[in-house]
Amino acid sequence: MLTINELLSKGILLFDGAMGTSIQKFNLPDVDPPELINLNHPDKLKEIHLKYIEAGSNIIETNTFGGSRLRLNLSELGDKVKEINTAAVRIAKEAAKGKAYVAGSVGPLGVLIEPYGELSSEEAFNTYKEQIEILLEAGVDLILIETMISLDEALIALNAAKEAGSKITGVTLTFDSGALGLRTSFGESPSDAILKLKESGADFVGSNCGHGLTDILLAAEEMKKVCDLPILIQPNAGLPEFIDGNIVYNESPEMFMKFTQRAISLGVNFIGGCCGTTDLHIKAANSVLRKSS
Amino acid sequence: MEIGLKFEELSNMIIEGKHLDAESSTKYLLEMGIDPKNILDEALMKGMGIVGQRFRDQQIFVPQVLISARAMKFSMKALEPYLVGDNALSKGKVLLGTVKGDVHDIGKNLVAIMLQGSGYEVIDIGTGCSAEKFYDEYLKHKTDIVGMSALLTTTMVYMKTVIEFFKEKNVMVPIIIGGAPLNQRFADEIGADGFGRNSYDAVKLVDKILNIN
Repeated sequence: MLTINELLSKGILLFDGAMGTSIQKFNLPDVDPPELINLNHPDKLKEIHLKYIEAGSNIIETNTFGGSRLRLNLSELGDKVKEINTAAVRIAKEAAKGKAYVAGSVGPLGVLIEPYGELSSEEAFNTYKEQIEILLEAGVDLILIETMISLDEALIALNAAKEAGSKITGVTLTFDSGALGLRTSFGESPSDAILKLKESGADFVGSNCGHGLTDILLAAEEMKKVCDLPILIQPNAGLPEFIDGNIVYNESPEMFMKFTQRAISLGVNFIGGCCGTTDLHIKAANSVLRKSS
Repeated sequence: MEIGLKFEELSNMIIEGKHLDAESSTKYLLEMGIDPKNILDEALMKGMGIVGQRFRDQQIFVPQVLISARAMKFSMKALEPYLVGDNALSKGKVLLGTVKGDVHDIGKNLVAIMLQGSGYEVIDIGTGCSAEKFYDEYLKHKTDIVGMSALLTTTMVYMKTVIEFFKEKNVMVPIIIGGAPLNQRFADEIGADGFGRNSYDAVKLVDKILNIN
């Protein structure tokens, strides 16, 4: 079984780029929520994975971000939790053919947990555990808990992953910059987050999504200062804008090359992309990585 | 006991999120025969206003706002039976929903609570709302404003679909938007009538559009 040390021994590794915005580009009518593509258009999903692998991704993510029972319940798909997650892993593995590792993507439940909401911590834990067990059983190499906006929820998910038997678990949070610097919606800073996640046994920590390339480098820098855990960053290609009626993410593959250089010099271990990034961004990052190694 | 002091006490209970204290303090003031509108304006709204400002200035974050909002709800529950007739609140009606594909509702709920506290009637149509749903609910309730929320960059673009749907139907109701990844430029690009950076700004924006100071 793959270990974090084995992963780290391979140098800086590339994750893939965006899944959600790549699915949107197909304009398919029957993929709401996006996890339905796993069942309705497996060939299209495989096409996305293949593009990223071809561009140089060493680790691809399953299309299971909203694949927890609670999240699927919102579209009355809760009873398909096993089918949807298993299909996602199968398709990712078919595309990877052993040439890339497969990370099981796990996103927030989308429901407030006590004391702020109705959902008990125990139910949140069990919901995460159920999805992660399915992902592991279907054969993912690692688990990535991502886009967290509350450290408490991230810790619940991390504990669930450990209990489910995950050997490598990463956690990323989304930060917004303001008067106090970078903070999650729940007020946690990158340095607080990484220290608490390390204490609870995360194998790597980082940041994804958010407002673009600059903020995420600041998050990585702050994390590096206080902690030696491996770091993953997956920025958005900026925020979407409408130009001549088209959705455009303004941070180009060229900008992504500069971003990659800065990430390398900060000592980041894993690099990838979130919303708006494409195989061209990954290709750009890959060209920088190959030159630097 | 000086009444101003009592109002301040209740206002602080809202700020600190002491929902049970806030509820009993509200009941106590009502039993003393204090005008319910004064309790609302001088204590509850004052408290929520401070919460909104602190949230805007990043002095506090979502959890603190949520516990204040809960305290506000408990007080409002005690107050509501008295807010009828001449005391009825109605600065206007606002329809609120999170757009299709998005399940996040923390931000929308905060906006709803702040608007309700400011005297607006809020019709909350929940999450994952299609253009048709926004339109149908608008027709049903004839609100003064329609507000849309999104947290994801993948779903914020759907706001444009909703705005265009309303245009096609020739409905001129002001449509405003909010959500973490949004900004004024995006609002302008999609033809929204306003953008609120946070729940505090959202109330100011609605006041401004409806010409309420």
